[in-house]
Amino acid sequence: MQVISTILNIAQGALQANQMAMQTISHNIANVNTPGYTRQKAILDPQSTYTLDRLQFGLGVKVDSVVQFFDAFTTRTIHQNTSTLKEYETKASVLSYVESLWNEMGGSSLGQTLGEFWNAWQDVANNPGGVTERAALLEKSKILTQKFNSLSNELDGIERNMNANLQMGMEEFNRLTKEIASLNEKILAAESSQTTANDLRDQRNRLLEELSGWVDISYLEDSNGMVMVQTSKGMLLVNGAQNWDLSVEGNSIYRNGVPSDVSGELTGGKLGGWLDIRDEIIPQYAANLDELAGTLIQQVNTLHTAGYALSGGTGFFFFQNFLTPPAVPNAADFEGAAAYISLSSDVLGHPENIAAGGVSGEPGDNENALNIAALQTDGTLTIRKWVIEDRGRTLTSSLETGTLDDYYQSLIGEMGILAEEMNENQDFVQSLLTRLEEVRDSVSGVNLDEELAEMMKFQHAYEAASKIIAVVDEMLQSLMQLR
Amino acid sequence: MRVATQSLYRGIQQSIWRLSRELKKMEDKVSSGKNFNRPSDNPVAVVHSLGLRSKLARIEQYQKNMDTGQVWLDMNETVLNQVSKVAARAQDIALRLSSGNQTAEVRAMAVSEIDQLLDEAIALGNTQSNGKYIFGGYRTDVPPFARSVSGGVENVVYQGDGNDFQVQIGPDETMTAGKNGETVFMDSDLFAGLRDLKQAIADNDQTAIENQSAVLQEATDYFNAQVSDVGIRQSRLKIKEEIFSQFNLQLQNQVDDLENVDYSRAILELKEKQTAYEVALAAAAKISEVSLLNYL
Repeated sequence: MQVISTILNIAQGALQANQMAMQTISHNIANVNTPGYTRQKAILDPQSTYTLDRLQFGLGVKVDSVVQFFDAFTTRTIHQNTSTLKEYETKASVLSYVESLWNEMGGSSLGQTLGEFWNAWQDVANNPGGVTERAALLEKSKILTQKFNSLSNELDGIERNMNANLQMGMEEFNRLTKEIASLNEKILAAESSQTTANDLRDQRNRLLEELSGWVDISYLEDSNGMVMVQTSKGMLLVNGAQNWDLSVEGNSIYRNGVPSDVSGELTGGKLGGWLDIRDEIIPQYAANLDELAGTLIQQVNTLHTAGYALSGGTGFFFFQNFLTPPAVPNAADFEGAAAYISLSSDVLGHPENIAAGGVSGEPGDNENALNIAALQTDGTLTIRKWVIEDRGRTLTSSLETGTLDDYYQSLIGEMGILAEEMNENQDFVQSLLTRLEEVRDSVSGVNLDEELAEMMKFQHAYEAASKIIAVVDEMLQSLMQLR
Repeated sequence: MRVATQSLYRGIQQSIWRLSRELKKMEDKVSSGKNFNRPSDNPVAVVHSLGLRSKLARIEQYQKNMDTGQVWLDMNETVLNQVSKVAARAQDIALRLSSGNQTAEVRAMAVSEIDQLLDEAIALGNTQSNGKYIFGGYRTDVPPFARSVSGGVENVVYQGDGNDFQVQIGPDETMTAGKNGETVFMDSDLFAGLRDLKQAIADNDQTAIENQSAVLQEATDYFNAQVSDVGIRQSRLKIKEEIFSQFNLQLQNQVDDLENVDYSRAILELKEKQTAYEVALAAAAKISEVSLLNYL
């Protein structure tokens, strides 16, 4: 009797174990498309044995554990590359907007208006007494100054947008660190009874991946199964069940409300990208645009004030004169010149005050107009060029010799190269990431065919165990029939 | 290597994204007809094309300046030819009268004619173009030449200045389009010669008439020299204009080569991308057909 009931128990245990294995397969199949899901497997183990008449008998099967096929190394690499990808994506999209602002390949670009400005001076030189030519010059100059003003304004706008982005991004960022901290707590509680909290871990890994998209992080799992998260520069974001919120205050980022800027600790990801754009890329364009505008004001005004208007008067400014230091822009510091540049009140509405004359201002005197027009091809101008690095903490500049056109074209070229580089990097990291995900999925991902095959395996085992129960039933019945 | 079901679909998705992006780029190229639409498409070519375009715009302006110069030179040529004729005509009269005593009537007639020639010469010196006096130097708003009488002596005074009108015909290259009246007229002694001839005829002073005849001969030569000087500058412009229009054409070609799409190649490439895209879609459909489920 004891043996028969043992057979029944073994069969019942087999039914249970195979059911559990099927349950795991079902869970896998259900999550085939869940992002970040890690394939699980029920590990079957023989039950302990017992000894009867010096013979050892097995007691069937049990589910020892449900394990995850988790590839920690590849996952970490994916997280790192996610930061890089998001940083490039962010920069590429802003640069593409900056490119369209410049609209170099279309009409009415700054380069083209600058060319038209010089040509208008030539027209005045061809007919220095002509009112039409003078009025046309003022009109072209107005378009040019407005182009400078609007570009400068748009660049400022991008900087402001970056701050708005940071503000919004920070809410999401804080939510993520908070959730990671709370999952740490849940995993600690769940795993205190020796099991692995597979699904909670998947959830936390997904959040870590999301967080990597915001900023470059590094993390470490402690012996309790909780992760400590810090930025790659070493600022602690999550430790155990605790997280530290970041907040945007003006141009600074505070941690935990402490009024000290920690933005230098944030690199990579969208946050790092936005900060780089706000503090390096856009300020550099703006600074170089200022140099272009400032040089134009300085060169044109120097010649213009020395020339003679139709009235014979001299000393008129063409562009609004520089401010007195320390106010900017001044003759030595062109900061803000692109926003500042405008026609002076001397010539605005007074085309006769354009100093086309170089000796007397007689209506045929075109010497100064020729001189000013010749600035276009003056290759001896020295124009300062800025390089802004280290989030605006390192500013270096060098003097470039060449025409204003040369300088402008080099700005466009550099912008194009940077945008191209970002696009290419983005493509490269994207394909690298796809490759890495394949590697991770080769370990962690669910393959439906494989699961179906497994399912068949357990289905048959289940049927066989059921058969054993039926056989035991028959055995018991034959036993009962013994009278 | 195991392949997860998700990987299969992700692979297809990625290649469809990539192909559709490339397809879009090719379509942009074909529809805009431009090889690049923004600096990042090809920074080196964009900067090159900006340089070419700016050169092109400059050359077009120089061509415009040369047109202005041409108008001035043509005007100068016509006027100076006329003036040379006036001087020659006056010299004719001087020659005629120097060959012996003439009647008072003939002399009176000659005096009147010389006086008119003087008026004519002054009028030519005061020629206007577009409302500007072309021989006044920079003073284009005042008639450069006027008769005046001071201390009973008749005279022609120059009211312009000593500057020549320049046009820019190339980078760092200007050309004198109009010389001032001081150089063109006053230095020729034409006005003084006519005045003195008139006086000499009125005085019936044979020696003085002969003297003035020589002066007027010099004036004629002087103006002829001026005309050929203008001619030299005209041919300089003509050569320059030819160079520029050729240069302009070359630049235009370079810009076209650089910027404009080679349609036959672009359309071929577009076709290739379309095919690749269709193949990817077909593969996607095929993959979803394959499953163990079909056999269970």
